[in-house]
Amino acid sequence: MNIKEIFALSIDALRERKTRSALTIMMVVVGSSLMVALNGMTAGFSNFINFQFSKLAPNILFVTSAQSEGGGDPFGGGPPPAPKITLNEAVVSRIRSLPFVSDVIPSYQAGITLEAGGKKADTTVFSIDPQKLYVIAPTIEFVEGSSIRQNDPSAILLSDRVANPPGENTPFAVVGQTIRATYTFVDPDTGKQESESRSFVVSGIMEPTGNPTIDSAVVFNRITGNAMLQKAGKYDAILVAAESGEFVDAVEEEIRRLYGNDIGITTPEAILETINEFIAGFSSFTTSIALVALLVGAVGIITTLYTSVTERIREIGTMKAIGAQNSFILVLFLSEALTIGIIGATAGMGVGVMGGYVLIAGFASQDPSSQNMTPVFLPQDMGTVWGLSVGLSVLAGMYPAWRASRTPPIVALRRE
Amino acid sequence: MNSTEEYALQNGAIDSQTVLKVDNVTKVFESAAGRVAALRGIDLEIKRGEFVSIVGPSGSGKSTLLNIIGALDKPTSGKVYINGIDIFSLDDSEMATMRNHLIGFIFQSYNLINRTTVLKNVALPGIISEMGSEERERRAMRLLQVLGIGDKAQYKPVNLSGGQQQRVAIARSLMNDPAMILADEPTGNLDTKTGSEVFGLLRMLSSKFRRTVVMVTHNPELAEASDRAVYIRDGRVEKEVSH
Repeated sequence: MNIKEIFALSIDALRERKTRSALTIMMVVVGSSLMVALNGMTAGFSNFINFQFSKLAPNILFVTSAQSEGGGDPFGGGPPPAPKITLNEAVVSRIRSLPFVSDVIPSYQAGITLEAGGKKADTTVFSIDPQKLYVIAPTIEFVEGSSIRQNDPSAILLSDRVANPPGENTPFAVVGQTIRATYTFVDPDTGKQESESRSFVVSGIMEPTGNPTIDSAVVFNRITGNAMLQKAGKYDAILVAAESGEFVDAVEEEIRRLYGNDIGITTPEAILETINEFIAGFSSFTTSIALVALLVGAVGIITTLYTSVTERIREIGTMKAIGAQNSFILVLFLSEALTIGIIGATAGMGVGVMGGYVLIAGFASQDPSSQNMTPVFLPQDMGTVWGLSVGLSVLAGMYPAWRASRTPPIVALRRE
Repeated sequence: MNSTEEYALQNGAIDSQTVLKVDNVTKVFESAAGRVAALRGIDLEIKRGEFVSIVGPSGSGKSTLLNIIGALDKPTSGKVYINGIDIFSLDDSEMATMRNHLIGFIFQSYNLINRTTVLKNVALPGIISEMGSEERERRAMRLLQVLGIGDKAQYKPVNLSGGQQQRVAIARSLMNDPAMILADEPTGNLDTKTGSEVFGLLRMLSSKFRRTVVMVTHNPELAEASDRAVYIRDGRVEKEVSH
């Protein structure tokens, strides 16, 4: 069979119906490009998350108290859930004495409102010994002029996001500026809402670290935190540094042995795993949407070729009259489907790559911290999408081509 | 030895000057209105190089007979031999090969592929038979020149006159050097003058190039100008007149 000539005839046929062919190709382009773009975006997203987490200390365990269950009232009444254990200095000491533990960093956390130069900002305070920031985020950097004043009760460190709120032209606060922090709470004795305000001097501004706890918070001295946040020595979380990343599991096991399920332990690796599981789920979801788009394209090919077979029935009859075998007609129409698939899938790769960048840019515009995120296009992924698009196109062409090839010549010639 | 003879020789069919033999062929169409007998026992023999007209009024069965001779349609009973081959004993694939090698078709409405060039239209039977591209083009070009439309090779058929399009169809029918040319009302869509020219070409194929031509027509003048006219009425051969 003269495949080259059959292809030439197919391309002539597609050219003859330019608009219809172009629209059908576009359907394949939409499906394949959507797949490429979404795959590229999720792979880029996953890469970005992995990169961000690689900047975190891999040896840190985040320890919190587990919560007791509420009053058992299905309608939400009864006492609120209470911590199962109190994270205090005794717990800190016990954990510090465990093997493979190199450091234990207790912390207080609360929501506060900051005021600077007439502007207000709600944020989270992460109250720890400021020097320990280097343990939690080893790659942390500060803007010029910053200083870490470990024992200064009025020093406050701002994250870049607090100091330079996204979407605003002027900074919220700069190094050396005095700002006011207000903590609002309910007095457990009176039940009334109270507030505690203090003035701080911005001693430094932290560059983004990749650690979400730090990157959206402010940091001040733990002693100040205990007093201002009404913590009475009850820590909200304890960060435990294992001697190295490989001892994280052993330390977790030791802590678990001491406190069982009364304690919650999270590691960067576990968070990463959870996020990656989410991304994988999201990726499956988006891929299935793109696959549906590709299937719509395949239906488009069926429709186009089926119409083409109907319109060209006399041509099919003529070809059979002059000796074309059924296989010749079959291959003729399949090569039209193949041509549509190849052009559509190849164009889809290009459009998909551009689409991936557009999607990521759209995502980054919502979240400035992800501005360095770029889509990732793996050759094997693109090859799979290309193959799938072309394969589906040929599959879609099967029925119309088969129908054309099986039409008896006299039936084809008689049909108007 | 040409391809036709090779094909026929392989099938042990070259034994006489008879190109076509129709043996007691009947054709009955089943329809909602009932059974209609289009052919009622046709016997016919055509020699090599003969120019035969099949003549008859509408509905007489002449086109049905031509379709059966060309293996486009199957008879209800009876046999058709081309170069000694019982064509309906062949399977679909062999029948397609036989049509490609032994039969050249000319249709009333030309049946050309308008999106491609005249040259490619003529070369199409060669593409199907996997003739080498060089030989194919050379042969198609030569046929167009013989038929006086060599300068139209790169035109699209739709840009040619009716007469020129029918010449393209004639050239296509000759591409694989067939044993027999079957023409279904080849002048039916043409004016008298152009129709005469086309008929003249078919006549020349028979007289000068010894091609066997079977032409269906309802034009008695054309029938009289052929070697033999077979008159069909109500699915039967009414009479045969040799000229």
